[in-house]
Amino acid sequence: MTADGDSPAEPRPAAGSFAQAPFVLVLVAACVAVAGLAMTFVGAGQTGLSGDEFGHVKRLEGFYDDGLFVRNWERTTPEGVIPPNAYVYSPGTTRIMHIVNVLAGNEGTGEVSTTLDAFMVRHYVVAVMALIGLLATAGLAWLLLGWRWAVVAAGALAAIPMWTGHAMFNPKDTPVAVGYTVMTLALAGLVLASAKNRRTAVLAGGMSCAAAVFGIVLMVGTRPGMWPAVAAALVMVVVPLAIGRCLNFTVLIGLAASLVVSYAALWKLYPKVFGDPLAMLSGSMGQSTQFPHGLAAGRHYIFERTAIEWPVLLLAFMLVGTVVAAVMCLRSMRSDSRRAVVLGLIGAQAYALTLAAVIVNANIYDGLRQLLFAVPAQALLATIGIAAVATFVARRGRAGGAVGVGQWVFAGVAIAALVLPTIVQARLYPYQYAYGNVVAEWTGASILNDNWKVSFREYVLDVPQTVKAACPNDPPEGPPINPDDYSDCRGNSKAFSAPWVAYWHHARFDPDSRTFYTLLRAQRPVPPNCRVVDKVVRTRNFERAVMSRLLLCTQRGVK
Amino acid sequence: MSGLSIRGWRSGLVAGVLLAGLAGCGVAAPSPSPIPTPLDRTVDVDPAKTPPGVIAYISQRGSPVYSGSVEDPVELRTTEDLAKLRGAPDDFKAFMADQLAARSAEVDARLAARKRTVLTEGCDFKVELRVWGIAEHVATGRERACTFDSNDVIWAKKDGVWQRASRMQGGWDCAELEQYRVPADITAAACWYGNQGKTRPYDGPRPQRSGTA
Repeated sequence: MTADGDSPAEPRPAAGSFAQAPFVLVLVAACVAVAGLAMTFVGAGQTGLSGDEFGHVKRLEGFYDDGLFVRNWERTTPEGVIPPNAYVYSPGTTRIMHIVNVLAGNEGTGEVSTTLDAFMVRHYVVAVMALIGLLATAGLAWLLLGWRWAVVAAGALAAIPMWTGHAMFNPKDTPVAVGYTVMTLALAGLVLASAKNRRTAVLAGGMSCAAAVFGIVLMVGTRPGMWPAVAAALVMVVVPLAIGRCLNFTVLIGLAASLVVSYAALWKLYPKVFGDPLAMLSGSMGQSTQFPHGLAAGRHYIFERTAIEWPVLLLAFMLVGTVVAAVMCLRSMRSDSRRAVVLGLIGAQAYALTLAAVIVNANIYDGLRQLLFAVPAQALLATIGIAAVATFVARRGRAGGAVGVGQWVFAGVAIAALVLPTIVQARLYPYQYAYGNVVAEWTGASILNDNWKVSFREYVLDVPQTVKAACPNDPPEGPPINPDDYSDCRGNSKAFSAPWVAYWHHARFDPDSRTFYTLLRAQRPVPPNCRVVDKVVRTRNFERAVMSRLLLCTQRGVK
Repeated sequence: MSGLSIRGWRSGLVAGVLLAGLAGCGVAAPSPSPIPTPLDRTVDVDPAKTPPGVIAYISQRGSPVYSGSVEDPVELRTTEDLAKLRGAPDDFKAFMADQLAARSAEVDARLAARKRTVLTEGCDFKVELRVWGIAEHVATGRERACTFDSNDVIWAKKDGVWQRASRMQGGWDCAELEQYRVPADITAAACWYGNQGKTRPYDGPRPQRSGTA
């Protein structure tokens, strides 16, 4: 261990290794980032609601009722015993949303509203968090590579459709991803600050610690099962610094302070779960990897979904960047351990928990959205991949004398990697999470479309007050759909209810009527007693993709 | 929070609107509602002052907008509860007993179709009939059953026999109440009319014309 400040580091640990980003690429990346943010913020107001949002609202009601962030059906244990599902989610993000809703006048303190206005405010909170995540990603790239590549990193993240799509509404995966990225940035900042003179180290280190607390509380305070990400990050900080003999008191005190303050904040946030650390550590891990208690999709699932849901060119750059970053990290472990730490932190966010999920065969479902936390780091790796190729092309050009063609080809490919998925995003808007790349589309791979029912909002004007509307989640295939099996979905505040009620106010219908409406996700087959009267359709790459359907059904054949 | 505040936030994002407006063709974000907010009306009911032949069990009539549009109905879950129907004719009590059995059989059939034998967690009853009031030829109330939605019901006496005449969720149309000549004291204080989401006070059926012109 060395004393503070006796090991000066480069201001940009990896900047000297790479060529500068071409100005045209920086300009395009900036435009892509702005377009992504614009779609996020406007989409937050225009898009519909997912069932998950309603679930979290009901959990917050439960939290304000008895301190447990669970829905009524999750209260499976005797009174006084913490139910297993209480460890799956924590009210970090929802309490922030509640504060904003109180300020906006949608909710009283401790009250939870299911109006459309309240849900829209929650959407804007998620969008602001996504903006913070984008800035944190750019910040990491800035720390590592300089401002030009920081802009490219922001563009790379904004170009990933699943990121922008979830940034409009997702109350759990997006905040977790943002918290994780802020933590990674903060720890990288702490490590780099520790090489500065004492005053700078204290100032920058203190700010880093504050950011680390925010990141950890947002991440673990939204999904307690993310605590291994903190552990992995600590390992990634301490081990390279120890190997490189750069582990100093600034780093150790900063880490300790961040952890202690974070845990205190989490305890204050959700005392019934974080009040018993051992139970939280074990309970959250087991419940999160198994939730929602079904058969896991298999170890191949994550690889398969990555091949489907990542834009092809960005995926290629991400793989190149992964190899380059891994080599750089290992090579610099002794010679420049702070660079190794920053690369290691990014690598850990991109792969550590994802790899763990593969190894333990965790119950991953609905595509990669549970692993959204890895996407900002993977976008950084894609940026490193672009930078590595840019450097390779520049060096080849200097060696061979053919500077122009190779660099223009590279710039064209890199720009296409950012622009093409952004164009597809605009065509899918606001359902970007329904993205599948062009190869997946050509090969007929399973692309999820609107698995979250968010597009149901588009049917508000089509479903009148006086006819029943059912929104079955997973109706059995084959037999006619029986309206008696499903409650009217305008009265239970799920995906369709809030926007419908905001427009029509009230539903009334004859339960013995021979006709009724059914709203179905695209993946579900049309029952034999129904006909399609409307669809939400978007163009994805070259094909038209149905997000959901509105069906008019009769009692014909219903038993 | 009002929608205005949301729109205010949006107006700060002019560039975003332009960009996403280009991108988001076809997104249906419904404009502010043209559907009027229904009448919110509450009327107290004094059982001692109901017209002859009308027995009101409820103490208050409310708006059809809210699911609990009346207060203090009689709740029947078993045949022992039929004694709560003070003043009710015997044929109506017998009809209610039949309805309890019929609705209970429906729940059993539904559970069997779902290959289950126990009620959904959270149900503390299998069937509950709520009676709001009875007149000579008509009665009102609500059917509730575990695994089924709740429905408002009009029971009517036709050819001397009680039967379930009509069911509705979300409040009655005025025309339906008029058709069955439901007295005001045994139903909600307002009813729906037309297809524009409007309500009007309901103070009983209009007087029937007698004789010929």
